[in-house]
Amino acid sequence: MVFSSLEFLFAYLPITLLLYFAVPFRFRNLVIFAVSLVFYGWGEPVYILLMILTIIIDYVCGYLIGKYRENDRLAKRILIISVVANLGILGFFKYYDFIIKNLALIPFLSFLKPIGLELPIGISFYTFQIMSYTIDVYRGEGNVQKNIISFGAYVTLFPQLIAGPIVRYKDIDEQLNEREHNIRKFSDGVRRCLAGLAKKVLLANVAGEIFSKILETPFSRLSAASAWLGIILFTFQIYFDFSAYSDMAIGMGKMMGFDFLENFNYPYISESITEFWRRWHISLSIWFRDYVYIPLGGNRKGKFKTYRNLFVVWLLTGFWHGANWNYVIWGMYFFVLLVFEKAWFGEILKKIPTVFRRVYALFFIVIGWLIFYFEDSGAGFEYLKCMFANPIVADQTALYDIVRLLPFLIVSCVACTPLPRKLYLKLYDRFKAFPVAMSVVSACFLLLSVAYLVDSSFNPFLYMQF
Amino acid sequence: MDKTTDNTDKKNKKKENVRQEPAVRVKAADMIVSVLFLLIIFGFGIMIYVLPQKSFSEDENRSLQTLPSFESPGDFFKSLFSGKFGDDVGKFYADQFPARDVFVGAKGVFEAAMLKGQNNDVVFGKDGYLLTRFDNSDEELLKANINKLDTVLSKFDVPRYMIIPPRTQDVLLTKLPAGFPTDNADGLYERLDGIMADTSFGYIKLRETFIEEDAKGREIYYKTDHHWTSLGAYTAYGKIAGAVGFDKADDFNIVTVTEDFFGTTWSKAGAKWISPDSIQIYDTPDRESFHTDIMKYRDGSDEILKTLDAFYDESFLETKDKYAYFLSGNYADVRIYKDEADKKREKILVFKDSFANSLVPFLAVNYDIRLIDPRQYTGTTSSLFEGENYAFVLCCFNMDFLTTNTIRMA
Repeated sequence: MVFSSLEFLFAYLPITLLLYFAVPFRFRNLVIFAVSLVFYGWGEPVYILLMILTIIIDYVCGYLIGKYRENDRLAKRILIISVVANLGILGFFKYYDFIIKNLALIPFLSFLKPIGLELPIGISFYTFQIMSYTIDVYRGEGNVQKNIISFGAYVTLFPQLIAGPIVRYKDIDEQLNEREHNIRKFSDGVRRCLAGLAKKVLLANVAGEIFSKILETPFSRLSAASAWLGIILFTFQIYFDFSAYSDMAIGMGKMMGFDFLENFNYPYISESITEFWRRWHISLSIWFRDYVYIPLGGNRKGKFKTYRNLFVVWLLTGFWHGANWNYVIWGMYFFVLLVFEKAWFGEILKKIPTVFRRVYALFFIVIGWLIFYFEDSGAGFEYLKCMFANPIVADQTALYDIVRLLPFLIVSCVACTPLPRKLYLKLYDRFKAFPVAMSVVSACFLLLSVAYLVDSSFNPFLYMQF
Repeated sequence: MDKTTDNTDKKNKKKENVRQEPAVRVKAADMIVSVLFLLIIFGFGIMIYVLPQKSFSEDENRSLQTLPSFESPGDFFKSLFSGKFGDDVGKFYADQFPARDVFVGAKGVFEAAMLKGQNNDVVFGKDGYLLTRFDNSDEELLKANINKLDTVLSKFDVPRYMIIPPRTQDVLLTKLPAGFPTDNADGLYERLDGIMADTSFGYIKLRETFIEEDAKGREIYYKTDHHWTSLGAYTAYGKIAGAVGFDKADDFNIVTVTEDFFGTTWSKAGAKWISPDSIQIYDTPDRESFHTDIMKYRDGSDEILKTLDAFYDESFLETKDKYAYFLSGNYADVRIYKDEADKKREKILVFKDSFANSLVPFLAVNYDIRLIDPRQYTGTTSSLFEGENYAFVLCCFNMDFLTTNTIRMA
């Protein structure tokens, strides 16, 4: 089930909220666990079993690590079992076919055939989330969760089960046992959720649909202007889509009293690639930092090891995004840029005006998304040629679309900046009527979003494949 | 938002990622947004089950998904595990959503207000015209279809002609918004000429003529539908007469049969503010002598399902799908005769899509006609020619049809 769908908004959500607030606090985690399993199973009922298996394995491991805390060697072994089990499941379901397809390229292994396994939804997210539990417990940074229901609720928490933010156990530990519910939080959650819904339906989907249309043109006939328009629309689409999902996750979490960490911080205003990765998919960066980079030594073991550690993190980051070589290339692409900035260019960047820093960053971000989008690198390269080495610079189609889409593009650009929010906060504190008016506006945006959902056949969810 | 932090590094990171909230809380605003939100999701959520379900949408001319039902628990689980149940529920919510038409219209208004110039690929043209936009068309399929027709029909020694009624965006150049790309269509028709040149069809070109007629202000296509008007069909009839060499009739009495026609593009565009079309027919003085037999079966057998007065089915004027007034819609095998005891009329064979339905009243003046819709006809092509002596064969398929459907002919 997708958040931006009518059955989610008008069946699942009302029923969930009703059940959640109808029961006394001590049963609320049970409600979460139950409804989240339904949410998860809606798309793929079979994989609920896999989810439950993972929960049991890590619940037991967590318990044992807590019990044998004194015996570090044993505790470590149990941790390793947990990590291997989790990564094994992730590796098998997500990467088995990829590995087989590549091994089959070797002549004497050509008999190997992929199985065609369907990827369990959200497996990359919840695997990372559940791994943070045993690791945090082992490190003493989180308490053993004795209550398997609460633990199950943590793992399956439907707001962020499918596309994050990846919530580390230690950040939510206490909230599982105790959290506050009040109108302030609930209304903040509602506002956040509706903002995300509007962003997804009115901006992300629209951008995506036009980009799809552009891709229908044979690349031999595609003008450079259209190619650029297309990849810029995808740049908008992926940010609005993914951050909207996080908005809705954070919003719905808040309605139920949870405070999740922010996952995006206006990434497209970044002035360097280094900064971009502090603002994009923050929870993933933090996860890799805490569980891979720092354990490997971070930047404290000398230059060579720092670069090696960065290399490992970016190889894994790329690979996490998909079982395909283009994602690995994408990870490496950013590794090179980050090292470039770290070793030399970063200093130079500081000396050039802000606007050029932003153009530099955006340029490489956009090219990055091209690598990310085209799983078929051959097609990606063709598209790149359309952008840079194209005899047809602009044609009627490109010009017509750019002009008619100007209002939409301008709105999208502004939506990538903190300006609207800053203005909102300013007006909120200044005028008494503004907050009330904005509450009504939020409701109107909900209705408008519904209009788009009712009349739409196009409602993809990009990060669904993770 | 209050968190205990244990080192400054984390604190700084958190500062970067903490979302600022308003300094002052306005309780009323909080209450209002919460209440409105809950009212909407519970309100519509309940309404969708309380209101009576619709099984067919007049506006969209398709059947609607109703609440999935199951014969047994086994059925339910099968549907659940295959993912069909989830899909059906999704479709159910979209199709049965309360005030669906209002929402569709709202989206249309909003898209227009954003100056996007189109909604759901339907362009808001000048003078109240709605035109579907086609940037790219499946030219492989176009070629395959045309070659298929050529191959099958060249087995029979009868003159054959082909007309390809264009799409509105291809010809209504005065109705397209300023700057609308016409080069996509130009390229497509140029390549079409090449494809047709390689066949043995007498290719009757329509696009240039239609562009001229549009420039003269003639309403050759409907404003709210993808079909040509009777005037457009008449223009095509003139071109066919010229190519084949028969006399074009011009003694007609033009009658308006409805002024309330909302067509396919109107439904798709959500453009509720657009005015309807009127439908005209071109009557001859001897109209009563024509009749249309719609055959019951799709394999070419001779049992009649129903017979129409002249070429029209009045009952469709009461429904939304008014274009089906012509020949009662699309059937596999339709036969048109004129009662003429003294003269022996010639007969033609027409392979067609819905565009031919409004063309046939003109051709019928000169010929008896057998109309075959390849999407539905299940018989063999050779059986159509057995014992018949056709004056010619005409293929009439519009550009959209040829680039989206696969024609199958035995």
